[in-house]
Formats: sequence, structure tokens, C-alpha cells
Amino acid sequence: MEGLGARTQNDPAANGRASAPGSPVIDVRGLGKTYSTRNGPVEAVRDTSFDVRDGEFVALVGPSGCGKSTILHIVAGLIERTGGTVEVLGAEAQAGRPDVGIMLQRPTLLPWRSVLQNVVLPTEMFKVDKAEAQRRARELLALVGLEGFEDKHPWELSGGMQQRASLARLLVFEPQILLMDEPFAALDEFTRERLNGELADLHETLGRSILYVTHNIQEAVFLSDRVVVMKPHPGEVLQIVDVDLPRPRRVELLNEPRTAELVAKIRQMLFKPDATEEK
Amino acid sequence: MANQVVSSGEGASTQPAAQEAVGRAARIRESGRIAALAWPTATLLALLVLWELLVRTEIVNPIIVPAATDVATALVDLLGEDYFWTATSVTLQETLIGFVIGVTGAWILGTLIGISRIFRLAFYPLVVAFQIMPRIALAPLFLTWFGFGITSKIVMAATICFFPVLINVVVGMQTVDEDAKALMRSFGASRLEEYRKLTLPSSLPVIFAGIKTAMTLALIGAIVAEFVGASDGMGVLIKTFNFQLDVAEGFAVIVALSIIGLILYGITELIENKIVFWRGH
Repeated sequence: MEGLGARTQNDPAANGRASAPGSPVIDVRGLGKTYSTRNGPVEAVRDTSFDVRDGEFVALVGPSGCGKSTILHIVAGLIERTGGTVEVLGAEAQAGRPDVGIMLQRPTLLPWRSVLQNVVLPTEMFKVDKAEAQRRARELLALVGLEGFEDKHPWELSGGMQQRASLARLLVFEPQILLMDEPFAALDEFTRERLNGELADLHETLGRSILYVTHNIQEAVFLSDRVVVMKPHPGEVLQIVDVDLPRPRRVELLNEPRTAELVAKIRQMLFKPDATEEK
Repeated sequence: MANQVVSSGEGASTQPAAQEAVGRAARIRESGRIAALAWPTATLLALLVLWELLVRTEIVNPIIVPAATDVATALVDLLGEDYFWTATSVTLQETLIGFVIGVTGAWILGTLIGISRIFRLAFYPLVVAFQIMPRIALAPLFLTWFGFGITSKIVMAATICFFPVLINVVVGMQTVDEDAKALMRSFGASRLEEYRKLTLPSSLPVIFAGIKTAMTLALIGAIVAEFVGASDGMGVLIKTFNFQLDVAEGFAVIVALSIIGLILYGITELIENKIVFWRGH
């Protein structure tokens, strides 16, 4: 990650919003989700409240079954909730909003489209001018390090590169809020660490609000301003932890004692016997 | 967004290596293709020699089974006869018109079943039930309804190639990736946009598998219908030659039919490879 400082020299200006968080852009109050299954109702999420402020990076972290991914999909308007309220930029959570974008664990690129065509896909629905969409897509592909791969097809790209293309597709319609569901979890350790470093850069440069789901505590701490720690069965918030690490976030931060301290603190919360067991 | 946040190192360094890998893969594929052609050709030649020997040594009665070379001679003779080309053109017409009608109808009904719950409930169980019925059994009925001419053969060909396409259209629409559907919804795609940009292209590989089956089935349908009752066509030729005990000529028509079947299948596969170029990835 050499030369990263030079690339983020504009940060203080762009970062203004993040350092002085404003009003919540995502407001989740008393959220509940109960699935009805053949074996009766299953409570996936119970009475969950948290918010994401303008320009903030918030991670939902917890073991599988804590409903973190369900919450993200509810905020995206892709799953119906069964209780509580979810407001996104002051309006009811709903799918198909151009101000909210979601990125999934799998790149989910369409194999019959070239990389460039994949990136412009959302703009076709959001009625962005075609030439403008192409210009933005090319710029974003360069930004995520895929310059020269515009006309390749997804299967010609490595897993990491596919996820980079997916990131460019997420940014192309310029959503204010980015929802990311374990976007790098399927990648190898090295690629994931590198992409997380780049994501931190990107967040600090673009100043978008990000809600990020992960089961990796270190990743959550490294990226976030706040970490919402959750327990499973049913999913509930244990605690919301402020991350007071300096920005810009560099990969070197992973070796800092303060990082290790925060990771240990969260790990302890999750591994306290009464925290992860069913009530 | 003016400043480049992400280094492009990864992309640049992987490119030459990737190209080399692609080149190596192409060479392996090339040698694989030669083997894939050489071995079945050798087997075919060996079988032809064996056939010829069995007949020439009269281990097999040459009146019932003509020698391979006799069949070849008969085929060459047939190629010079006008009635052979008339029969071929009739059978081809029946096959292709039936194929187009069957595939189009199946595609439309299959799409309706795939997108509409009501259509699905109303038609899908019936479709599956009809699928089990041996459709060839309908040939005498079609003859009564549509006569000795070309129409009853077209209907038979269309009927027989209808079901595999319909089933594959429905299955293809069911196998669309759930994540991709969720993404399309998050992009605010309308139902038509989702169909055009995701469902249709996603299901094309499955649909084409059905279409390839349908191509061979259409030819079978046309021939069977001609057997049951027709005034012209390659099926009629086969029957006539058999009655006259011109077995070599009968075989020659069968060989010609096989070649036609292969060509039709090959053309379908070419079109498939052109349209569904991403298949297998």
C-alpha cells in the first residue's frame, strides 16, 4: 500500500462530514424480523436499534445467525420487516432507490455482459444518460484498478477483480448510502486485506455513508467509526462500540495496540457464555 | 473522484500471465479437438470395414443386409435422381416448419408459465401430464385430421418438439440466480426490464439445450408421420424401397437422413455457440 498517503491527500476536505457526523441517514428503531417456517415462527432479529450518521462507516458484526445480513437486506428494502421502523434518508426503506446501493458477498456479474456493460447496468434502470454512464463507469473502473479490463467478460477476471467490478457497479449511480454484505468474505486473506485498505481509502475520499456487514471483528474495527456488536438466536444488539482509531486508516493500523485492544474487547463481548447462548 | 485512490498494480501484473495461460489453454484445447475428431472417425471406419467383411463373407445374408459399399453406390445413384431431392425437400420443409412452430409456441407458453402464477397453476400440471403421453401415438389421428399432405407432418413435428423446449423454458426461468434478482430489484428494475436484462439471457443456455433436442425430435416426428401415411417424403422412400426389397437403397436414404440430422443439429449448435457464448463459465 505504498503511495497511499499521496493518493489520499485531499482527504481532510472530503472527510469533513465523517469527522463531524451529522444527522442519521439510516435510522433503525426496534427492528424485528420473524420468519414463518414449516416448523413454526423463527425469530431472526429482535428489537434492534442503531443508526448510521452522514458520512459514517458502521459495521454490523456477529456470528452467523445473528441476523446481520437480514438487517442489511431490510435496510435495502429487499426483505420485509415484521416490527419496528427503518428510515433511510428520512424515508421508508424501499428497494429501487437511486440513493441506496447494495453490494453482496458474491460479485454477481452477468456473464453475457462485458465488465463495462456490467458496471453501467444500474444506470440503465435509473435512467442515467448513456454517455455519462459510460464516462462514469470507465472512471470508476480505473479507480478500482480495472483499467484495460472494460471489454473483458467476468469469467476472465479473478475473484478479487470481479468484486472490484462489483464495487464499481455499486458506485456508478452515485448512491449516498452504501450497504455491503460481507463483500470480501469469499476472497483469500491477502486480497481481502488489500481490498479493505482500498475501501477505507474510498470511504475517506468519497465521504459516503456505509453500513457494512461482516463476521470478521478485525475487519470491522479497521474500517468502522462504530461497530454494532450482535449476538445470535435471536439477533440482538449487544453493544455499540466507538472506534477511536485515527483516519486515514492504513493497513499498518492492524498492528497497533489500540486496534488489538478494540478487537479483544469485542471478541470478549461475543464469547461471554451468556452472550451467545439462547435465553 | 479526480484522484486515483486504488493502485492498478494487480491488474497490470496479471495481464501477461493471464494471456500466456490463455494461450496454453488454447493449445491444449486444439490438441483435444483433434483427438475428439480422430478417435470416432477411426471407430467408424473400423465398423464399416467389419460390416463390409461380414457381408462379403456371407456371415450375414447380403439380401437382408447389403454391404457398406453397396449402400454407398445406392446413395450415389440416389443423389442423381430427381425424386430423391423432391422427397428430401418435402421432409426438410415438414421438419423445419414444424420445428419453428413448436419452438415458438413452447417458448411463448413456457414464458407465460414462468412469469404468471395463474398460468403456472392452470397449465403446468397438464403440460407435465401430456409430457408422459407417447406423442407418436397421435400420428394416425393427425393423419385423419390434417390429411396425407404436408400439414399432418408439420403438426406431428411441432407437437413432438414442443415439450422439451417448454419444460426447458420454464426450468431456465426458475434457475435465475437469486442474488442477481435481488440486485435487479435494488436497481429498481421493472418486470419487463428484469425479464429482458436478467431472466431471458440467464435461461438461454437451458433453453438452447431444449432447442437442440427439439431439432432432432422434429425430424423424427416428420419421418414417423410419413410412415403412417404420406404421398411424399423420405419416410415414404424408405417404406417403398423396403417393400421392393431394395434394401441398399433403403439404407442409403437412412444414411442421407442421418447426414441431414447431423447438419441440422450442427447448425443449431453453431447458433447456440454464437448466442450463448458465455455458456460453461
